[in-house]
Amino acid sequence: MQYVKIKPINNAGVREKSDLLRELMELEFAVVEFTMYLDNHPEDMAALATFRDICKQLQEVYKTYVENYGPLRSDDVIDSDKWLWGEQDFPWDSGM
Amino acid sequence: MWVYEKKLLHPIKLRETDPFLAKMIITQYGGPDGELGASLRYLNQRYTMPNNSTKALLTDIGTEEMDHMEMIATMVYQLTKNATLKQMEEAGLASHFADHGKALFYVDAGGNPFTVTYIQAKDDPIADLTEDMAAEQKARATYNHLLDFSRQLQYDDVSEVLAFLREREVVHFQRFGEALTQIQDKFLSKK
Repeated sequence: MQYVKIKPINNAGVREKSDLLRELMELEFAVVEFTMYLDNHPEDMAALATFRDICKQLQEVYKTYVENYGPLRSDDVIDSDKWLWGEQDFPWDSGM
Repeated sequence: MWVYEKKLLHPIKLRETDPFLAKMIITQYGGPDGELGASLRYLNQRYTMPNNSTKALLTDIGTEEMDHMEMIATMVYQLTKNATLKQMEEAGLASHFADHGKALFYVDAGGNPFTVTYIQAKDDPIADLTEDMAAEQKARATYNHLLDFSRQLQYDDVSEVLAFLREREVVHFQRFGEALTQIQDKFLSKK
């Protein structure tokens, strides 16, 4: 999964929310796809290695997103006094 | 157990208001070959599968179908949320509106309610997996019909999402086929 991408950065030097979320969606979709492939082909070492790389990249992007823009799961730990989980928009309204 | 992640599997930001198209698309929410049926079918069959790899496959595909269900719901919701009562009536949704307003419900394109008789579980992996392959083909064919509508209307954003969902059915069909072959090979090698 190698692609060259220009990553929009905001004033704080952090990537834009929509940009992070888009990459997150791509990576999580790759996880979904590889998981069901590996369910049927558990002996495919190349696929397993690629899957691990995807998961590592996913964890980094997930962490950056959640730290800067709010929780994706209710138990994501955020440095905030607000109950963001209940307050932030839901995917069918935001479109993401 | 399930954990909910507050994002869609694939982005959906529809520019159009079109309750008629929503009435067609809702069949993939509560209709015979839709995502609710698919997720319930696979997530229910998995308990009596003969090995862990098949339990894993049914769990994983069943879970993705729930992601798909959310995507269909999102499209129906976005296509109707700004519709006027007149638009709902002209789209043939007056009865739906009387019962549900603009709330979604598990129905097919004709408004018929979802029934669990759309699915089956036989405690027989060959029967179950063959049914699953058929289900994926029926879903794919349904997406083809829905794409006829969205392409005629030239709603590229809707077509893009429907095409994505159609391709997933093709992949699921492939996976179920592999699992069926593996089970049949194991069965034959024991004889």
